[in-house]
Amino acid sequence: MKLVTAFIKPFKLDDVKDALKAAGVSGMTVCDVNGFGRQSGQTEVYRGAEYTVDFVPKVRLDVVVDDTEADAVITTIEEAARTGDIGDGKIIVTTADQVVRIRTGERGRDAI
Amino acid sequence: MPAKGAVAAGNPLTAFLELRRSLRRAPLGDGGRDTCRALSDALDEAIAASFPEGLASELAVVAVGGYGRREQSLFSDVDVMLLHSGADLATATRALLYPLWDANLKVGHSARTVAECIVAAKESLETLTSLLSTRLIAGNGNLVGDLEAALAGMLQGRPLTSRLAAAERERRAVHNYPIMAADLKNGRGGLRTFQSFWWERRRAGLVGLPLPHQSTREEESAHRALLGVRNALHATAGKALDEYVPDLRDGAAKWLSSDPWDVSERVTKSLRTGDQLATERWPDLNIERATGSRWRGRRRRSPRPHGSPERPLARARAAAERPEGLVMGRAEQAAIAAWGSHDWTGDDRHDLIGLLALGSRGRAAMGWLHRLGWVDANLPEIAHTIAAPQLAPFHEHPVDTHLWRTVDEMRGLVSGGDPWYAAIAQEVANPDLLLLGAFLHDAGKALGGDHSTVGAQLAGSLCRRIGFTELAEPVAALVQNHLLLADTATKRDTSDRRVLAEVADRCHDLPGLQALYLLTVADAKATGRTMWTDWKATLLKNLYVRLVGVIEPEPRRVARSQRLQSIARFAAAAEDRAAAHVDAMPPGYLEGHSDDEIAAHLRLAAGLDGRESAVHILDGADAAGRMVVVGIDRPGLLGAIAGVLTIHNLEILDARLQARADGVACDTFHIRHTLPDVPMSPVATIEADLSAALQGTLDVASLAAEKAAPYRSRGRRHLVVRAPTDPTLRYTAIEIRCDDRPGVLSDIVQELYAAGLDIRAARIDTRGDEARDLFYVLDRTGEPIRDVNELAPLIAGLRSSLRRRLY
Repeated sequence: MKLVTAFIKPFKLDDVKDALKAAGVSGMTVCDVNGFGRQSGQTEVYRGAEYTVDFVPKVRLDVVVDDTEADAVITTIEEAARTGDIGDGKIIVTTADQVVRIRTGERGRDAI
Repeated sequence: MPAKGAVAAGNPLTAFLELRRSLRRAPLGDGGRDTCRALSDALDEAIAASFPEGLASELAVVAVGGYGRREQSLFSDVDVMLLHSGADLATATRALLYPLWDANLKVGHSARTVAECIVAAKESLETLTSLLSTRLIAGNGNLVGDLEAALAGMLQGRPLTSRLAAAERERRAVHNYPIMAADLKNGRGGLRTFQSFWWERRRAGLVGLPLPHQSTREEESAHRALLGVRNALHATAGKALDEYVPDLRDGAAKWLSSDPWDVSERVTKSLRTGDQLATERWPDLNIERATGSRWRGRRRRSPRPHGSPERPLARARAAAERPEGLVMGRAEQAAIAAWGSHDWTGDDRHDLIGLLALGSRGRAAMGWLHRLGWVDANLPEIAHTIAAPQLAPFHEHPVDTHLWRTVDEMRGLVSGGDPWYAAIAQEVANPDLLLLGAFLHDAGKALGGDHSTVGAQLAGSLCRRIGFTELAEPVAALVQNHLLLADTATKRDTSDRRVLAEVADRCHDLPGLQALYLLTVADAKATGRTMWTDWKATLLKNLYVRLVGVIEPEPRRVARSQRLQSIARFAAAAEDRAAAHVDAMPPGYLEGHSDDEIAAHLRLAAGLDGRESAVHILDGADAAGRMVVVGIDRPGLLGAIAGVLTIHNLEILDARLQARADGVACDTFHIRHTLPDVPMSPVATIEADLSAALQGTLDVASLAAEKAAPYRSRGRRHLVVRAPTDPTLRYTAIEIRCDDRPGVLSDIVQELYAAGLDIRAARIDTRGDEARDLFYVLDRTGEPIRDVNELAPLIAGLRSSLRRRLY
């Protein structure tokens, strides 16, 4: 099983959520995060002065999927979250050793 | 011994446990008193069945606390006391308490003699109130009679009300704002509050005094409702959980055969009833004294002379402003209730803003106005929001509480806790817009439909109806768009210029964006902890910064030409003369004045024709409005103006003072007539007196001091005088803060003159009951004072002379 973690632009959350649901993903965890990548923050001009945001607000999305579905899920997120502009975010995939559904005690892919 | 949780065969509690299982599935009656009584009675039977007959003469087993009042909830503790006169307690405990423990019930138990009860009751309010609820289950009833007699003796000299009010004050301190996830037992206005009323009556009954108050139908209905919902929470959670948390609302509603909205409304309204009854019955509660007012706006209305009639909002505001805390006497209540529906005056509008600026005391005063029927009659557009529930888990408060909290958050933004927001707020020309926008932004809630659209219609029509005509459109726009920035920041691509252009267009202009931005922040902060995070603050700030970049550059240039046309039209002058006038004024003049004000400056300056000054009243000549004074700039001009206005009973609420490059001072004042029952002096008289004052034939300083004498402050005698040294400034800035009262500006200005200072510009302002004035001055040589060795003694001297003069 894979844990797919994506860092996306906040306004893309609904698009990504809808695309993942359409692709059969039944659950996800979402949280608000701040960070920077190659973009190194963000600079604007506010009334003639420079206004810098060092850590840019992003949304982090975690989805656990079966190995066989991982590539499709990654592609789905990638396509739904892409604007083509700088700051579109990252997707990180790690191996999940075990998943447990607490209510029933199911394990492995049955618990996804 | 049976395993924990299991009940041994023959345990007398079997019937009680079976009843509780059955009641978890479905309530008895309305789920409140009937259910509680059934549980209490079943417990009584079980405990009585266990009573050891051998101890009947020296032991009574009594129910105390909620169980004593037959208000046992599904999973409440079973509170019993072994009241004895030397009984074998080991035998009693084995017989009476072991079955309860064996049944896995949580037991609150004690074993005391009558004398021990009295000692404990003297030490603890909790014990005393618990004993007031004592009820015999089995055993020697004489012991209970002895206890009641002893309690009556003890309570003869011990008032209970003040201690109950103190406990209520503590509950309010925990939750300054009523919350949705309220603790129905120990929360503000909750069951403890209703029990406190019962204890007061019980004490009166024991001691043989008249009842302090009767149990009303309203009280009983709210009390029953809270008992029912508490049982519903216990049934849903399967344990003694008393907080009305979102996770349990659906289950609780199902148990009560109702829907979550109805049950939530029952909860919020019942808690509000408890809260308000406590305020009414314990006038010394005075919790609302905790917060004060700091509102950068118009000066507080002066105290009226004795005998003037007081309108309801003025009475409510005066009650809320009392130093000892909010006090609403019976006479005041009756006077307010007698008004019914009435037309709105400028005073009413002023007092409404004043109440909003008072924070929690204003909220409490509005609660009184609602209880007395004034809100329904005179603010029907918002009456439906009072105690209206909000079910979304992120909403922490009922609708009206959220509105008041948004007002408070707005006051916090404006008053400078965070310089970023304070600087933006300073640019909003009319701060009343921010208060009204905050107070009305969710007026459309609880009515169905899109609450922004419904609310905008309500807010606009309300503002027009009560006379905030100029603010009707901006307030309605704020209400309509109050979710726009939050939605855009989180759901739309804010790097897309088309999105920014669309949002900017809806904000209309920079002041519109600034007001909306502040409202968005205040709204989010007031919604709940989860709705205002650094993450969201950054998203919103990014959006605001980008929108300013879209709105500001071009429109400003366009606005200047449009405004010059408008000014020229108002002044009946050529546009190039309007442009020359504006260009001859200090930077910021155009932005800081409306078109009609600038046109009045232009017209009066052109018509001076050898006179030293001219006066014009722009609007609101009856009670409050704007006055423009134009004159040849010279030392003493501001002092003469302030003094003459004081003589004519005109209070300066705020002022903007500038001088044109050719030496013509163009001043604009917000004024208020302090004696509305006396006709206002004609403008010609004011103008003549000002001229006489400037020529030295009218001793304006003495006359103004005489006029202001009755208002001299007996309050906190607050005074701050300081001068931040900045070598880059053209003038020396002196900031003076003191208690506000009529004539205070005249007094300050006279002292500045006496110190040899020439006032070149000033910003006159008020926050709550504090005058905050900033003067830009030069010394006798026409130079700013930059040397700190010269400035320090000057400021110290001013401080002393002002203290003498003001207080």
